[in-house]
Amino acid sequence: MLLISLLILIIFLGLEITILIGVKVGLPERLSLSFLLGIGFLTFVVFLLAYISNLNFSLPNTFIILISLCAVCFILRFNKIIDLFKEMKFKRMTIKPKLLIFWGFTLIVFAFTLLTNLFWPISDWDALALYDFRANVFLIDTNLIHAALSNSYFVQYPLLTSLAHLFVYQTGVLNPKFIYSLFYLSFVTTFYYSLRRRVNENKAILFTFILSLVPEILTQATMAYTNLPYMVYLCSGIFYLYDWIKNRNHFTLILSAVLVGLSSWVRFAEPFWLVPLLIVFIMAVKNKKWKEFMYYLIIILTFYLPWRVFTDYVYGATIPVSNTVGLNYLAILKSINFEKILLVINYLYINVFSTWGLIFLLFIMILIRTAVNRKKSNNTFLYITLLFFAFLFAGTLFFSINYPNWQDIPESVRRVSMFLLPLTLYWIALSIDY
Amino acid sequence: MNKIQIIINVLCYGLIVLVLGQYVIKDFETVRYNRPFFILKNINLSYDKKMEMKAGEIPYSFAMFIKNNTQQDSTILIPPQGYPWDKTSNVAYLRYFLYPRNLVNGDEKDSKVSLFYIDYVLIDYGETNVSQYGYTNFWPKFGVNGEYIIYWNPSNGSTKRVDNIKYIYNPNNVTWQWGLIKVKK
Repeated sequence: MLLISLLILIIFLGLEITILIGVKVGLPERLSLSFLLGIGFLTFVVFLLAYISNLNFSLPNTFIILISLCAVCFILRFNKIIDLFKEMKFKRMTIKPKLLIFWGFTLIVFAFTLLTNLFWPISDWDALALYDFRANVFLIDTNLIHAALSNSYFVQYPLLTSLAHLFVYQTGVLNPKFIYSLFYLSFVTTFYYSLRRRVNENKAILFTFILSLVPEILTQATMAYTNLPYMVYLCSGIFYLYDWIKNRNHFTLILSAVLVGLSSWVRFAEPFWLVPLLIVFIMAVKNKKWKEFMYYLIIILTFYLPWRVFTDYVYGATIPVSNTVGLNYLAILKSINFEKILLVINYLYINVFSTWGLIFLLFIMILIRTAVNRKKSNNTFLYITLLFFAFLFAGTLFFSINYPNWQDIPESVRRVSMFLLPLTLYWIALSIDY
Repeated sequence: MNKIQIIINVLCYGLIVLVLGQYVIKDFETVRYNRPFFILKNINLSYDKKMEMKAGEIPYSFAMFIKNNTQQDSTILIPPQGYPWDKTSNVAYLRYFLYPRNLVNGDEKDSKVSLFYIDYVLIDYGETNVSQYGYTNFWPKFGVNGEYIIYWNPSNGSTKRVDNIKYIYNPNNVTWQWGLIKVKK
């Protein structure tokens, strides 16, 4: 009962945030966004209060913070929230058979992940070593700073998933893995509606169907790792950024910034949030509208910087200054040579792209066709996707220079690169003729 | 649309069908790994049994044995990180089951830290037969002055306590042993 109340309040908070931002989308997409925004904001605010005002983690505190956030959002936009509920009418809907089959199938896959997640306890290595471990620590040592200073290997990743696990444990439920099924369903829904705005219904159904079956994504939907939530926030942020480029609706830019910002609240080390920031910067230069870029930058940094400050504080207190090594960027640049570049390309191909299977071949095929077909000039989404590929390459090259054992973690690189799959699929859907 | 474009489109959609086929085959592995029919037949299976199935019977049961026989504020010396002690030497992994106990890695042939700060030392044969960094099965390979030793039998979970015993490592008598030495101070 407590868990259900918690989930309803989290989704309600997210719903209010969508209204605050001014999001204009249909109910299924809004509910998906509500879950993503609700869980993201709640964990972030709980962390901020635990860090800044030393507030302990407890069930009453979680509920007080959640209800206060809902109340503040309600006061800020109560008329629009009431209007939204008034507009919701449960009328008899006529749904096309193909849509019925598509959503029925999606719900079956979701039900499979839910069954799996509810039954099997968290047992995957990284989840036990860090993400779920931290939730268990917070149940006993309820003080964030004390817990972070007392445990080694504790602040390497931000707390979104760990705090989400903690909230579930606080309600007395023993397995928080079902959260990953909700991330999965939210993403499939967001992908479908984002794509539907750009392509016809059949194509949107086909490519969302493919997305829902991507093995990497389905596997991650049954694991308590951060890769799935990271992909969900980052890719959704990119889809809304693309919407903004196409329609210049202010709300889609803000929504994109919030989602990309939240991706840095899931995983901190990978600087892929710089890609959308760079795109908004280029648009600002092109249109000479700096205000939009500033909004985007400030929103992302709002989510990014507190964790950075917190980890600096923890490392400053636990690692002697003499042991910290500064990066020599000039030396790194000098170490880059042609052989190293080929080595990295080969490594990425063998461990990432070749594991994608035929979808990579399809991507290359359409890429060649696009390059040859000069009539088709609008390739914005392709450039965005290619920029991400370039960042992945640059990041791996940088990593290969700094860490002698860089080739030892192919699984990790594969998981980190997982977000490229939905982007690739989205672009193929935009490009393929039908 | 010219002929070449039509051919390319047909090729693309043919590839999409193949992609879907490839995904279905790969997803079947995910479904098989998660055993939905087993779940439906064993919906009331205990948490311990599920963890034994997922984390491995010996590592999980051994962790529970340690948990049940040590105080929460104790410091436990465990083998050096590496095979053959895949999971039972990994502080980051093992602490999940034993928190708030403090876990410290020893060396293979000495304790690495003064035993004055240690409450318990594991007796850990190793859950694998794989060697890493030259480590071989069985640990500790050094003597420990024990207040008592609790031996644990992984086959049936039974335990046997021996009081006032000094643990002596004998390289000629390396058997499949598991347990816990309470350090005498």
